[in-house]
Amino acid sequence: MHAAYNLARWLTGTDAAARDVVQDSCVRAFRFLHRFSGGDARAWLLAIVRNQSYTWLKAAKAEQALIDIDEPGLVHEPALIDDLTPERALITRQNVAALHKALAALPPQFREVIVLKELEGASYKEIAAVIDAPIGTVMSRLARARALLRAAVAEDLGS
Amino acid sequence: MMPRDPACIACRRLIAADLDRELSASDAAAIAAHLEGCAACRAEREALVALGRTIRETAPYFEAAPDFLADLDRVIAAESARGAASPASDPVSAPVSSPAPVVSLVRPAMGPKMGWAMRWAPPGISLAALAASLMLYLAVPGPGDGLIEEAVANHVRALMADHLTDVASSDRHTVAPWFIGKLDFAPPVHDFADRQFPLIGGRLDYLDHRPVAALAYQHKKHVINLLIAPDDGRGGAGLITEEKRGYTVLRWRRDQLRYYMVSDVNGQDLLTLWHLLQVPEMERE
Repeated sequence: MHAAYNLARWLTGTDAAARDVVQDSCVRAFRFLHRFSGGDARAWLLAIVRNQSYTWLKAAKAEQALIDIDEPGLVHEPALIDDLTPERALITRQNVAALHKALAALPPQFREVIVLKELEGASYKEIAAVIDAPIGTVMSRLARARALLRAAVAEDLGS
Repeated sequence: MMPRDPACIACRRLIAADLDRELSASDAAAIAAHLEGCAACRAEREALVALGRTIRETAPYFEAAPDFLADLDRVIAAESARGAASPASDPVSAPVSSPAPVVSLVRPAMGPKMGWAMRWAPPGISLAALAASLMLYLAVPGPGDGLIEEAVANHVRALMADHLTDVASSDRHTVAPWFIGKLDFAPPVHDFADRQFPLIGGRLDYLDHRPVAALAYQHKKHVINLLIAPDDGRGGAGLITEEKRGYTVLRWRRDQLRYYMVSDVNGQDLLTLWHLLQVPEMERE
């Protein structure tokens, strides 16, 4: 249940919204229990939480955050980190604040994979089940998300 | 710098998956070999390691507040009551005879008998088991009581010493009386041979500094140990599931007793047995 709340909180950005989303999700999970086809119950619940979070985001007129992303070409993520030396892109304790800000500002598709991977410790397979996408998409979104975070931190260092 | 070397390009593509422990052994070995001789890729790897570690160690993990979890419990309880009042009309549960499968998530604290009030028609068992597996995530288990580890040790010891039973019998009318005089409580004994969980027998075991009842069940080729001890009120009331050293442990409390179910069978199968134990009257006498 903490996993559900953490995901909702990261996606919606506020405690009040996260509570609404998780509560709705539980009711839906319970009502649609018969649609659960077996397998990973946690991923199934998190998928519902994710969908409810997106519904909430849309209702909150946050569609602009839902950038339509183009999958091909993202895998090695050159553009953003090309001109960064590894030293500059290295995250240190000093720029943790910038990192958190960047994470909160990531488009939700990228934020959710980071939250699921790093904070929830989910495998690619589990993440794929939650976001209802192939594993290749999980990998490219993670790569993109990490590149965005590193770029944001590097920018913060440079400024 | 974007690497020009095809080996570096291939490596960069897989570094993250390697760190995420998602690579096959052969791919991981290839990456390791390349990193050995490539400082640029090593630096890239370091940057990713630092990023991941920093996120994990510093980014807030938002836990649901206790008052909110209590709210959730009420909502889910109301929802399950609603479900009981009006039999589900969806196509999946329709073949199951009424009443519809209901798993109450009301915790025992809210009423002595409501806690595990579960009803389902016999054919509905798979749906009920499914509900339970979801419930593990919906229900809010209380804290453990620190005995999970000891329960696992008992399970392992019984298997190693080949001492599963003091009284070997699939007949509960043989096993149950055997405990009389050996324990200061009467453990409920049931056989579920018709559900693929035959009782092998019972023995005395030792848990939390006192003698307890241990029942051994067989499922396929695996042994399931069920330790039963008097309830001391410690730990949460809800069903708790834990993985320890490759074993799955289910712990719950009911009717002044504590139960620890330990086995290497998968959690789903343990839940099935747990279900059977909640409503042993299903057993055809």
